[in-house]
Amino acid sequence: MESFVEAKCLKALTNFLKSVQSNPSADYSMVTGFLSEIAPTFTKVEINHEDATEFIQAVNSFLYEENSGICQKIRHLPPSQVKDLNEEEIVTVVKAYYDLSGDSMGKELYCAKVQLDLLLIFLQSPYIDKKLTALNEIKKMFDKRTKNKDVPGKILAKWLSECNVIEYIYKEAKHPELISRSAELINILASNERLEIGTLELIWET
Amino acid sequence: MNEHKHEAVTEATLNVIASIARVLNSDMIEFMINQIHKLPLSMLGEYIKIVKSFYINVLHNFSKLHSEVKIKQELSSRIKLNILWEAIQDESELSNKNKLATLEVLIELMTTFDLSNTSEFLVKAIDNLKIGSSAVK
Repeated sequence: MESFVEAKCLKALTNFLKSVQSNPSADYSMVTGFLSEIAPTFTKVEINHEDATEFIQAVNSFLYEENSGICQKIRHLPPSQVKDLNEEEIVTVVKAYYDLSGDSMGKELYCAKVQLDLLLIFLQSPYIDKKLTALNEIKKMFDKRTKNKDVPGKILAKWLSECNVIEYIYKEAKHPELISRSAELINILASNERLEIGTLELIWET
Repeated sequence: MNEHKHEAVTEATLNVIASIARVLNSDMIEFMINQIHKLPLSMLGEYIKIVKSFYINVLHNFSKLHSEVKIKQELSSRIKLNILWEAIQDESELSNKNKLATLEVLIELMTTFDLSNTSEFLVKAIDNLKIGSSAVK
């Protein structure tokens, strides 16, 4: 891995990222898997290296470019591709990007936002195992971050409320396994004063 | 949704309601208690153990907020045990198995909550015995 960076392959990697973005049939699960493997080496890139700036821009574009960046594109991927995606791999790449670009302020918050967006997409996918994994991961994020001032629990509770996660579970998904796991999310809302009577009415109507 | 899945969804939902009773505020507790009291008797009997859990969690919730005396007052005014009484009468549509389960829950709730209105059920049971019916009639 380290030799990849030292061997001045930044240019090749930059071109690779650009080609993936412009390829409508790119296999994103394979690409993110590969990137998450080499992400630990990003910190070894010398910022003054002649190809570093372009590489950093390429990673930024791969992640965030409107319509073609993975964080946007994932919303429009066919379900079969969403099924193979691993949100941990994508978040690993995001974290490495922020370390690489020197933009570490609010890094935890940015990464949490990306992770939550991905988990929402997984929750709304047609695959029950993906939905269940998403719910478990959301709960884990809250457990981990209630003590972390970078991403307070109230921000997670706000996300739960604004993305209508409970509404989706009870109104659209209506699966007993998802319903069973929703109690902890409702507890999160209640403990952050974001639980409303309307939500209880919705639950009862189910 | 097929019937089996519908039952599974209903049971899961009621379990969630019972579980979150510990964290609801007073207005929300009132809302849920009112909804529980509107359940058809057959459904009440079918899910009586979950209903019991709900009431027990309501008690835990109130215990955090009120003194022992106030808990008794608050719960006496809100929890309508006579609905459970009606469910275990001979004329009700519950199966014998569910009637027995409901009776056990009624006794446990009366004991746990020590509510002021429980003595009326003793009077009713004695009245039933006088007319030759089962005590629970």
